[in-house]
Amino acid sequence: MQPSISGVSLDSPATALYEEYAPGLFAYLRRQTASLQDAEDLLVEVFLAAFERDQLLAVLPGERRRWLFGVAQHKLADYYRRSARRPAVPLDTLTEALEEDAARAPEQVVLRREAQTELYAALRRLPPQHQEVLHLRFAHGLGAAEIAAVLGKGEGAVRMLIWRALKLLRTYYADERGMGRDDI
Amino acid sequence: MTFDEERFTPEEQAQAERLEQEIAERLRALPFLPPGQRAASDTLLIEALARFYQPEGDEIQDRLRRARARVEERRAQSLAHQRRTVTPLPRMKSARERQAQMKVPWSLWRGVFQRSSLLASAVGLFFVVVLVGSLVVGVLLTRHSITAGHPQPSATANSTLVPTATPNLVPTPTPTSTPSVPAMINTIHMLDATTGWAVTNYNHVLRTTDGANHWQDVTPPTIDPPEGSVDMLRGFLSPSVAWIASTVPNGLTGSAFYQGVTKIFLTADGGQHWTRSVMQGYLPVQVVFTDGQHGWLLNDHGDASSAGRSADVFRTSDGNATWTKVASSGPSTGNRAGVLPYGAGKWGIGALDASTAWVAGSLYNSSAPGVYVTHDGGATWRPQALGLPAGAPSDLGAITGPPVFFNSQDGILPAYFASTANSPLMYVYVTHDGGANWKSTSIVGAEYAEGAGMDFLNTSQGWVSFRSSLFVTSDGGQHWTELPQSSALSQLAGLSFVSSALGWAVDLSDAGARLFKTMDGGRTWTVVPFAQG
Repeated sequence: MQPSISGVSLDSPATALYEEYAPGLFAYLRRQTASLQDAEDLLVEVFLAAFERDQLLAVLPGERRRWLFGVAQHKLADYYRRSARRPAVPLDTLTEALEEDAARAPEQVVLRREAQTELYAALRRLPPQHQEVLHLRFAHGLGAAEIAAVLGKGEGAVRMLIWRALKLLRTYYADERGMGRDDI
Repeated sequence: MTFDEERFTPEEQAQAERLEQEIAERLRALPFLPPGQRAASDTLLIEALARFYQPEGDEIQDRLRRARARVEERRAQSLAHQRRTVTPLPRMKSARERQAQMKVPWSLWRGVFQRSSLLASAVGLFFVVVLVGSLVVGVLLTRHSITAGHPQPSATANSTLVPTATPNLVPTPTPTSTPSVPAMINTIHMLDATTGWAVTNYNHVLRTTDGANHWQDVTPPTIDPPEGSVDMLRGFLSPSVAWIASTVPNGLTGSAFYQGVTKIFLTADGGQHWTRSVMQGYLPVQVVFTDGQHGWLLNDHGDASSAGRSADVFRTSDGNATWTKVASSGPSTGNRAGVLPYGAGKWGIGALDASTAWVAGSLYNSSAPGVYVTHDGGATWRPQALGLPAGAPSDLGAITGPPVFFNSQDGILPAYFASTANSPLMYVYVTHDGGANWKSTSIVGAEYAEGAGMDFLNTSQGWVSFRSSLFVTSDGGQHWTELPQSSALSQLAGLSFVSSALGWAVDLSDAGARLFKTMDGGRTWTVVPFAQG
């Protein structure tokens, strides 16, 4: 037998559960809340509830996503009651983020934004659902299955949506840059 | 017609599948590619999107990390509160009570950071995070300068010999406030059919001499914190030699998370006595011993950026009495030849003996899998690039793990491709000349989890697990066979074989961690009741 390698990972199910579900839950909460801070606060509440008396571990593995999203819905309902705030639109968030970023490091961001102006213009021409799916895929880094859970759609439909969105984006992007599709 | 009602042609569906795969691959590969590298048709667009969304992606990852720290902090407070009201070791409970869920330590947040690797622009932040209850602030330690002639800017150590407090488990009084979780084994390492080691979810170190039927508590008495909720580094080399390192960070957030107090305990007599050294400074990522005298330690400064990450290597030659810093890696040492490069991924350390050791992770300025090796006790290091296994996606970065040796010549070195948790790809390298040459083997659909789901008897016979799947090789990883899945298993979290037939495994299920035994090489498993004393 080999000397064992020290260090642990799988004996820490709570860690694995956070890793697995936090990104998708955060994206879900982000869609429904007014700010990143609100989404973060709710995410903390969801996981505190999940690990309270190890509740989440008592849920069958196949049911955990649904259980967590259920908790998230309850937390959101409380949040709405507290704040009477309405869901925000995803792409607005992005421009906010870019502007905040610009305030932090003007030169770099302006340079980057110049190069990205065309892409931004092309993105804005996409239907909202296409924009949203790209946002979830690229900003949140979610896979098709996670996006499906966030949007309440089938995984196949999400893949198609991404494919359509990219196809359309490629066309618009080429327009914006004034070049043929083959150049992209 | 809404989108969901729309029908798609098989060709459209296939294209969508391919695109999703391509996006996933490009995103994974992005950190390893020079900017703007052109390959498939959608590559540039995908990369442009990735860069476009990066500012928000970074923010999201920051938020996820912050939320995690907040959950940890609140949880630590709650655990600390619980700990004040219960006796240290929970009594063994009835079977029904045992259904109560397992209290879990928090440690590696690897996946969260891995998935952000494209956004973080480094290979991924891969570090050990240790949670400590806020109760454990009152750690008193004395600073002693140790090895004369060696500067110790970030760490000091002292060492004492401490007998194990309770050779046999003393029955604890019934708790006034019942802890929610019974003691369970969550790590097992058997050395032969009768003798082995285990660690419980409360971080008690156990030893068996009757084939895991009964366990004796040999926990070092002054370990920090005395109970639960902290993962410890540990290793089990032989029936007599084992080590365990507890770490208490100075704080739960920021750089305070990477610095604190490390206590390293080493036994050479099966846990009857432990030597203890106390170090203050950056917390270790890994501690390994090659015998009862010689050991290596790798820490992480927690300053990972796109330029690199700082780390130090320490060594002991006197059985854990003194630890000497033998290598430093940081912005000031840079990436020049002979040093352990600042720009390299340094995520684990493995050693052959007192002079030869490997720091594993990723190479500086190269996407080839590789390790850094020293043959002079850590004074100089050189890169050792390793070949890719057959059929490997050539543009995906492979991450290496620390090698383990079975004797002075034969060893294995695990590696895996940076990928999502949903598509784990691992493989091993095999050496027969003490690590001078490493031969790559076949990829298997399992996850390399710091050894937890991997066990090799020798350079031929090995097992790896992924969730409840178990793969076996008898030709050193050239071919892997998936064993029929046992319905008894949920999530394998530790494997320990002592022959091609006899082995043990820790399985995590809703019932908590349970110990299983196989007598047919992993095909069928039966539960082993956990009995202490």
